[in-house]
Amino acid sequence: MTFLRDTELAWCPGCGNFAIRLALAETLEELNLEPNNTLMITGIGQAAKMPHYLNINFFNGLHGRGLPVAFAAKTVNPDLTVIAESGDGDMYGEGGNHLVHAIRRNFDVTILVHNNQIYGLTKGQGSPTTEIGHKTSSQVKGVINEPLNPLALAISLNSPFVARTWSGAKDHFKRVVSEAIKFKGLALVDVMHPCVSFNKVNTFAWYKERLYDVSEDDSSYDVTDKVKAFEKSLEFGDRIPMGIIYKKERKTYHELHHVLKKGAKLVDLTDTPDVTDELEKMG
Amino acid sequence: MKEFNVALSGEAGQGLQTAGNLIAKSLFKAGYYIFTDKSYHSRIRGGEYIYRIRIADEPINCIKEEPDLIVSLKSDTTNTMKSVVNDSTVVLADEKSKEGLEIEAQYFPFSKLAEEAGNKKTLNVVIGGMILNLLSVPKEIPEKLLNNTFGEKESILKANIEALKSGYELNHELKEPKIDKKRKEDTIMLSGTDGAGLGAISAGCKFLSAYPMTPGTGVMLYLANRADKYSIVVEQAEDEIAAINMAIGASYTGARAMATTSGGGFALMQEGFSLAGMTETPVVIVDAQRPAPATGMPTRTGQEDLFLTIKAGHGEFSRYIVAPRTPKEAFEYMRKAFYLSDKYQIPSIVLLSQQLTDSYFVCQKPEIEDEYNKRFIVDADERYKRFELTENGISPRAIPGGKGLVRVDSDEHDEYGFITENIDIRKKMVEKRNIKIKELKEEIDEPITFNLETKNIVIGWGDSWGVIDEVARKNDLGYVHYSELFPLKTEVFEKLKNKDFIVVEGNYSGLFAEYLSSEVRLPFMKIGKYDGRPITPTWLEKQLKGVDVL
Repeated sequence: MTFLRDTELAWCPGCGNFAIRLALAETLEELNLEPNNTLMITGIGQAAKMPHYLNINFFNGLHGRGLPVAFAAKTVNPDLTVIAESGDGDMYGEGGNHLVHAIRRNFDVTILVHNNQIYGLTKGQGSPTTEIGHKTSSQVKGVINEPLNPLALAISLNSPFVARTWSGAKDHFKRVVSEAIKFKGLALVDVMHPCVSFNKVNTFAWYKERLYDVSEDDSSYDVTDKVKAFEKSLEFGDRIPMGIIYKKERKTYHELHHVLKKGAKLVDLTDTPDVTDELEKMG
Repeated sequence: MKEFNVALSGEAGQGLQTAGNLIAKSLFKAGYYIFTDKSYHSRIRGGEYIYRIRIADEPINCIKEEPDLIVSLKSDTTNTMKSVVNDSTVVLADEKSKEGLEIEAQYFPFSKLAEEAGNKKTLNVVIGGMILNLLSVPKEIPEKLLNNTFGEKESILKANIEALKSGYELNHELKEPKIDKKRKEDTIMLSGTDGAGLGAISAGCKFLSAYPMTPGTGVMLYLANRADKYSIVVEQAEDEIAAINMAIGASYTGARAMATTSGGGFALMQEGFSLAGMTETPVVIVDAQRPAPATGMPTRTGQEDLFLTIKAGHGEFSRYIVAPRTPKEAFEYMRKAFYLSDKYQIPSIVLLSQQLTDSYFVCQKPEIEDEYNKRFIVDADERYKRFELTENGISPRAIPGGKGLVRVDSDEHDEYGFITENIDIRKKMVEKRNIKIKELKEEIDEPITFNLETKNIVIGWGDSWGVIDEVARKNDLGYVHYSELFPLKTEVFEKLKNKDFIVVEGNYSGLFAEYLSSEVRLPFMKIGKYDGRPITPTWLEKQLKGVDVL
């Protein structure tokens, strides 16, 4: 079975999501993953519609609440490849607290955040990553709140895999996302892309002009140097870094959890324990 | 019935909970029926702390406020009991806390004896020894319990054994309350927390997510302390929203899963609860009620979350809600909640309360219904439709990882789980989610009834059963008492003509009376307790006199 599902897509013509869908399906296939052993957890928003356009198990849950679902799913069945996907509003706004704590848990998941710096589904309000001064349908005089820097946030929380790619460079996307999926632990990938309907500032050309890969730019770039990576993550202006910004494995939730590390696979534990001894103790 | 009521009165940090548990367990083991109650503030040190133990020669399932014996370690706390003290109440106070005591007392050197035992923290055990001696409990019983608790810490154990001995040997002129030790051999002593926690384990719960919130935290800790033994993942979530979404994710993937909380936390779970309804994912929520609104009174009790739960979540969908009456029922209904959730693919709520979670009861061993172990999970094939339309609304449920894809959406969806705007499918899916209640209702037990021949029928639900039963038996009243609240069985009222109905519950506005009125058109008198304290026999009798029922 191929990952691409033959169906009508509800995105606006020209949306970066089309390219992301194609590149993602190819990545999954090239990794030899099977749709029935792959699980996509999404929230709400344009990006969150993704699994409807793929052949894949999915749990398309609540706005901002995908990561708790993803955590539990991977905990219960570690044989599933789990991908959590949603937009900047969902992951960085509504679900911001869950992102912080998901990183702390370091369960084995790939988090793809479609970051177009605007709210698409609700028609053009500012998102947590909209830049200062950007006039939107709800920030009519321009955004005055400091934008959230997802890469800096993740690195500060010791996220073991922090990367950025974008919809306009298919090979780059496939390479980064493939690394992220193969990575054992939590991998955060900020996927920048234009919103043709509601973001007239951060256009395709705008991104193309600014985005550069850190390792191609500097062959001595050390992805394991956390302080350098943090410094790099702060760069967001005329030049915007992408590629693997930080990567350093640390023990996963599964490897550390006192029950799971012994090999217990919860999905297989369908027994109902005999608790007679516990009841005897109460006598 | 002969009974004797003890109150340990002090402040948090004095070890009164440990002492109370030690005394209660020793009395139980010696053959008494007991019931305990903890009255405390939301703080770790200081404040008021009263541990009550009711001791009797027959089964008792509620607390009595009026103490026969108070052991006072803090004057301010003991003074709060002035209104429930009578001429025959004996007060024994620590010499060190004489100051400010406004009730006549006899003074003893409890603190001094503890220091002499080698550790001033053993004050609680000195008191325990004295009380247990008064009730002719062989010293070997508490000694063995202390050994189990402190066995590995030799110096602490030694001090405690010494303290227990001085308590037993304390000279006083109290008369032994002659209560027969008639407890049935096969009974056990457990709290609502124990019952709910062990019931969940016995149901095969493998995943628990929760944000700590009194008084629901105990159930979380109960499973956490046994996680290794039963291979359970207990995860402390960042908030209640994460907790319920985690439990749903775990269940979607194939584990029996639950979340524990109290009213405020469940308020945060509303959207997740609705998600369980929409995605038809089994999940069990424990809501241990405390007085509200908002933060309310964290360590107190009430029955205020009825509408919060029966109407929980936006939109319409089936659910199962049960408020166990006793720890035994907490165990049994927890198992039933997992079963019904799995069978009907719905969320269930087990409504506890601070009174039920914190109190020790003497109960029969819970019954283990084998049927409740069934999981109802099928293998998916390539054409699998997670939300296949069926006559009874239940679609075969598969989990991801099999041959077919399991697609689930919080948006309205078609039979495969894909988003839809189709008007016909929308209608059918709404009907599907709600029609399940028809078969579900057939699984619901009748309420417990007693003495329905009498004119006056008391109605109650959840943890009030013990007190209603006691008052009804004593005063020749009848009662109808509910544990399973949704769906609600009301057939019993068809036979009850020309009666006076009095609904007694732990809230101000008579929530259950209002709920019942929507199903049964009968005039209900309402009696509510909303001071955060448990309903007691004396209080209930006084209220019933107030409405001319007694």
